[in-house]
Amino acid sequence: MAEKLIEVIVETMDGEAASVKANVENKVEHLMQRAAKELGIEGDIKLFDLMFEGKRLDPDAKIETTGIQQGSRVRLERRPKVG
Amino acid sequence: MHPLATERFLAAHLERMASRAQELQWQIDHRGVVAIVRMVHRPSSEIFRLVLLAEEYPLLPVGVEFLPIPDAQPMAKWPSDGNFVFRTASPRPFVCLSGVRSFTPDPTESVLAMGVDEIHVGAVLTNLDKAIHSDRYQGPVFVPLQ
Repeated sequence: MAEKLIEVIVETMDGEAASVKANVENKVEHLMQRAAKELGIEGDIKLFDLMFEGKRLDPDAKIETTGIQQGSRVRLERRPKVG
Repeated sequence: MHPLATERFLAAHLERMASRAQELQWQIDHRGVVAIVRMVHRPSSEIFRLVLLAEEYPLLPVGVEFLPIPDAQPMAKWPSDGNFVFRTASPRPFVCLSGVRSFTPDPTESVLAMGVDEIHVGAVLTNLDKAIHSDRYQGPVFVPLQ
């Protein structure tokens, strides 16, 4: 069966962006891991949030249930440390 | 670090945030090593104005202060999040967030307390916007002049 691949633009906190391919049947966490690798981001992916249209995506949700489509822009955000 | 180099880093980093500024309704007025940023708490249309002081940036994180408003005590109008990011209960309110000069890291993790990506002014603004729009946000703190 053919993979349902889409290409998503992933932005970092500092405005860098990369195009990342993802299978919509995979979990959001998988997209986060691929994006981190593509953008050279190190660290535990569980310390990051993936934001889409102002909302945090559940890492365990399937990409196809989130509304992300071909060409969508998402943001990979490291959860900030606060004082 | 030469002030002109700092100015150019700041200008370049802010330029990279242009699309996000449009998306999140930030207005940024950048002059030299200082930037004035207008942010909106979008659900309530509450407006905050910040001044970013970027001496020695990006070697050092930016200083962030909320601008006072007319007819209020200095530093009176601040976003309040229960003293989590915005420390409004201290004698002088301040932002306690990694990537900001006034952040006080946990001594046990001071070496790793501030990553280079967190120092980036774009990350700081994104995190401040996020703090204003978190569930902890309790509205503005306002102290009128006596």
